[in-house]
Amino acid sequence: MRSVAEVKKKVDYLLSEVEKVVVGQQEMIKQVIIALLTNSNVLVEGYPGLAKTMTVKTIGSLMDLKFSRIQGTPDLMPSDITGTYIIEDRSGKREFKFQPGPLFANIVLMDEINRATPKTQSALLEAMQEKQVTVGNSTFKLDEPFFVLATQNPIEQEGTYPLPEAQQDRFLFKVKISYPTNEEEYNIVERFTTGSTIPHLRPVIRKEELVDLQDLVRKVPISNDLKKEVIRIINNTRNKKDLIEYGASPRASIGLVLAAKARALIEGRSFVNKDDIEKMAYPILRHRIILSFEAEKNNMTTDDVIKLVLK
Amino acid sequence: MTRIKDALSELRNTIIVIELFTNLLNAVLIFLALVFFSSLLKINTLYSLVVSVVFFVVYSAIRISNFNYYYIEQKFPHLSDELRAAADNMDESNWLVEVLHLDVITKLKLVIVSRFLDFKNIIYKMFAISVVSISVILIAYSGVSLPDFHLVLPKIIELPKLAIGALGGGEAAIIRGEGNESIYGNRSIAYLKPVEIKININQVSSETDPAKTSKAEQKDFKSGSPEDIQASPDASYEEDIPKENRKIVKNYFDELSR
Repeated sequence: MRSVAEVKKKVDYLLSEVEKVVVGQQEMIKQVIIALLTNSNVLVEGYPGLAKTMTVKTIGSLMDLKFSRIQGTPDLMPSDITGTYIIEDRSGKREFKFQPGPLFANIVLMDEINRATPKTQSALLEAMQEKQVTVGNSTFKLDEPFFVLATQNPIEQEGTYPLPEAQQDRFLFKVKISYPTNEEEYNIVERFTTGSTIPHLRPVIRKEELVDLQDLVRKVPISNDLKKEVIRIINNTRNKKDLIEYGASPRASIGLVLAAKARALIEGRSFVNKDDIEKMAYPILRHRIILSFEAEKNNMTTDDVIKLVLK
Repeated sequence: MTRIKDALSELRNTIIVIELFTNLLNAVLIFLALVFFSSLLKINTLYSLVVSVVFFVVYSAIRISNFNYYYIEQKFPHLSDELRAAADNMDESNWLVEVLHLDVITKLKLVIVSRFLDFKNIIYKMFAISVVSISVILIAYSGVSLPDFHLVLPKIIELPKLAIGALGGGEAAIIRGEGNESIYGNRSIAYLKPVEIKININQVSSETDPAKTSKAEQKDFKSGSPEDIQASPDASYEEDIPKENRKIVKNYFDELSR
């Protein structure tokens, strides 16, 4: 792709194809695509039945990427997701053979990550960060691109292992999805109760094209003033002690710049503007700041505080 | 890449020239205002020139060093964020940056230089310069100046004493003085500081009006001295001064010069 218009056209076509399967949730879909383009991961918080699995599965098939799903349960072991050595009997000879786990895919959906034990969470997070898996003495590199979409249920917190803040920091975005509007829900009911089948989707973006797009995102120009603006915003999260107990780390600065670049590209621009920074600040900072007692006492949400930080 | 560099360089130079012009107007206004006050206070005009030149140089240097393309983006929103991104990534070489540079070059054609000139502000400054210039000329022509306060102040302080003296003892009481005051008067008034006084003749203020001059009139003069002129001894030579006062009169100027 040698023009920004071409990139935009491709992404718009991808979005329109996803819309054929998933009704609504435009913002979540866009943010998942942005996370894919920045080679990062997403944490989605939403109630059950809001098309999280369907979205990721659809995007995976439209991008010709291998998809796997892991259901977080308390008895899930690290080897269940990374893979393990099994004894294989080959022509009378027994030998150990590595059986890759569900992590060996391009898009991994980890449902209810907070139900998995901390040990299993760590194994997943190592894969997310290092793009590799260690089993015993051997290290196995994961296929590129590698993307994890983890989900959390905001209710039913009993018997869960909430992700510590340091681990949440490894996700680029925390996306909050809400219920569909009445009109959207009508369309959902219409689509899934009248016997019509989900259309067969053909890949829109090949794996190699996605890797090229990921390289291209890093080359999108951004002015020095906007980079300073990003640092100012992140610093604000550390200085507003009356509202924020703990601010964001430099990972947030890196993530915000990359996300803004990706957003600029999918919007058809060859440069980053202030609007990109402001729009991306919310999903970037939501899971990276801890509100103070003062803020919680005043019934302020994280988004309310982020709005003040952006001023 | 050269094209974008040239375009941005040309834009920057144009803005700097406009900035220098605006600063020059400010410097001229400051100079004239300082000349106005210098004329009133009898201070050398050279100081005004030095101050205004320093202001022009320093302020221009600060404005040029703080130059930012954000100023241009504010005037032309269609270039918002784009101009700075292009300027800060001039040395990058990838097709995205090339697309951005081409886009900026196209949009720069829509930049009108006159939008950077605040005509209202310039007109106000020109008006102020005219008013101050006329004031300076009027002061110079009329020779008006503020009085020297360090000389006037003691007189102002003595005014109440003079008033009380005039009400109480009359003129004799003032002449006699009180306490340790010398019969010759206040020494400080007679004392001249060892300071070189420069007296400038105001050449503009003159009672001579060349336009009204004319040839000298021809007059007849009588020969000899006038009849009513005669020598006679002055009355002061026959004045009978008491003996005790003769010493005072004789030594008056000696006492003053001490």
